[in-house]
Amino acid sequence: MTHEKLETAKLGELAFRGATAAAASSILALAAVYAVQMTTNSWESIVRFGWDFVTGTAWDPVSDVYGALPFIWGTVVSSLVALVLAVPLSIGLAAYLSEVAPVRIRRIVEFFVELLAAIPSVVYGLWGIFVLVPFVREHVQPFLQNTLGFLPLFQGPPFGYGMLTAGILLAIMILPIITSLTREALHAVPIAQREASLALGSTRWETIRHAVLPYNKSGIIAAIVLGLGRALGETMAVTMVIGNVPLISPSLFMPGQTVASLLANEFAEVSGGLYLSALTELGLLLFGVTFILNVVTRLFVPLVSRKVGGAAEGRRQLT
Amino acid sequence: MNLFEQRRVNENGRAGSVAVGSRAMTLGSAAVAPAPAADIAEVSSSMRAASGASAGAAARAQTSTAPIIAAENLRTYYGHNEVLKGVSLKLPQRSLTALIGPSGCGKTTFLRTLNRMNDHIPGFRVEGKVLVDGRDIYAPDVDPVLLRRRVGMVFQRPNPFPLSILANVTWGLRGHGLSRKEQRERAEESLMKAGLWDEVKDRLKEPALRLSGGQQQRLCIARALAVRPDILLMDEPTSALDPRASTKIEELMLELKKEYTVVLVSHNMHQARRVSDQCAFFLHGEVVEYGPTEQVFENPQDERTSAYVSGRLG
Repeated sequence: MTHEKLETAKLGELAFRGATAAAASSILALAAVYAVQMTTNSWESIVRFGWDFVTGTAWDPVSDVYGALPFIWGTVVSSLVALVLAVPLSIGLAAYLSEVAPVRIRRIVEFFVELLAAIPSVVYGLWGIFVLVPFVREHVQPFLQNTLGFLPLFQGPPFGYGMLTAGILLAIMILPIITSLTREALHAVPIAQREASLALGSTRWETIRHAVLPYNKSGIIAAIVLGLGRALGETMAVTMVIGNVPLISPSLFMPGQTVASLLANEFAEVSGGLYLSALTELGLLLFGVTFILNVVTRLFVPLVSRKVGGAAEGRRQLT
Repeated sequence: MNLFEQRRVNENGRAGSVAVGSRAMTLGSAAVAPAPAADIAEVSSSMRAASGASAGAAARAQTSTAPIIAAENLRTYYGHNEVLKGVSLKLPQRSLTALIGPSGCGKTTFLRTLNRMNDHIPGFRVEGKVLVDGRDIYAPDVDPVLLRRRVGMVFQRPNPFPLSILANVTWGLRGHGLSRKEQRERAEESLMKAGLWDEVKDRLKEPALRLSGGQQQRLCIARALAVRPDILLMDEPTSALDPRASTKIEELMLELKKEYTVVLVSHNMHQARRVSDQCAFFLHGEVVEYGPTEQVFENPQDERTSAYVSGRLG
């Protein structure tokens, strides 16, 4: 290689570095711009309402009073219902895929789990309206009322639309992410741990329950938190089945509204001023919570994969 | 009625429901070994017979009569790859048999067929027979979980659970129907046998991972002994340890072989020579020579064995 060519190559290398660094930093810049922009745009509302914004229950654009508690309630409750339903199922599914299933079945099931993740949110919403809502109204809610009706959670008229349905739909939507992250967490558990347990005369179940799952507990927690993050922000499908009434009710049968669904419903008709500022503050709130959740999990996850990573290599080492 | 269930029953004689419950649980993993439903009935009927007898002692008296391992024309495959090509070996009880040979010759595979540890590897297949106490352990009615309670194993790298020292030793006792106190006694007994008791007796609650490599390996031995096996498989247990820790484990092996049938895979010929009573030389998936250790090292019958033990091969 001549001297000149070497120079050009060096230059190319430099340009490549610059370009990739720019691409990487644009992400940071974007996040920063979001935060700044949303804060400035919602400043009016922040100053005006202070903490009352998150504790107030009245949301009245006509008299310009904004309290977001019912939407925060709706977001938290629907997400919790989703977690309660999705977490055991996802962990069971992940354990099956990683520990029990023969290769062929594993591939098929994994394909369908990934497929679930690829379905657009609005399709889930439509399915929710036409299939899930009637099913919940005619079967699930009456059943719950008959068996657990003494709990305030399951009282009230069976509408179909409401927190319960939104939670079920969300559970289906976050199942893929929790399952695949949990599966990865289990995959990082060294084969030696499993063999140690099996060699002591433990059953498959005992091995999974006591040797595999606890070994990477934080990886599983991270999977759950990331699933929660997704549930908190999910908009379209939830908007279509939750009923969109700003209620704070102990009953899961009652309709509710989430922060995201409120934004989706009202942004179209917003005129500006304090109303827009208040809606933007809701967005900022959601942004902040999701951001914190993600930071917390990131703090967990690398720690975990560093600790166990590499140990998984040489699985199936023979001789 | 066979020895595998017999042991299980004696261990659990006091807590009958546990035995049946976990039996049913192993039925769940039927992919590994479908156990006929009749076994359950058998277990519960003999449970009544066993109750009242002093459980532990009875179990040992029952099973110490003839724990012999015999492989008959054993062939194993990983997919299409034939690893063991017709191995026949008889291992006498209460002695230490060393399996030696170059890497990739099937020693570890052979070892792992003795407690069916290879069952979980996709594509693994066995032909021929492995008899423990005259019973084919690959017969469809043998539960590998029960088998592994009789045939313990220690691995190449120490692999304690990320738990306390005590929890490691009592790990395998889950479902044996022992009280906390009994478990604790069993742990002490096993740690003593593994020569670790004096070093850890004041810090049983500390994390096992804080121990040194050699201590961790002795902990793994204690953990295996706590289940009260008759046979102990050791897969190069000192290869990840420094010489001093290795010496300790070797001394331990000499003690263990008085009470257990020990099968040792070793890459270290000096070690094999020091601790074993008989020695099998593996090459390319076959046993080239098998005999008393003295003879294999001093007066090998096969040219390849003499090449290997003199360091000219491998």
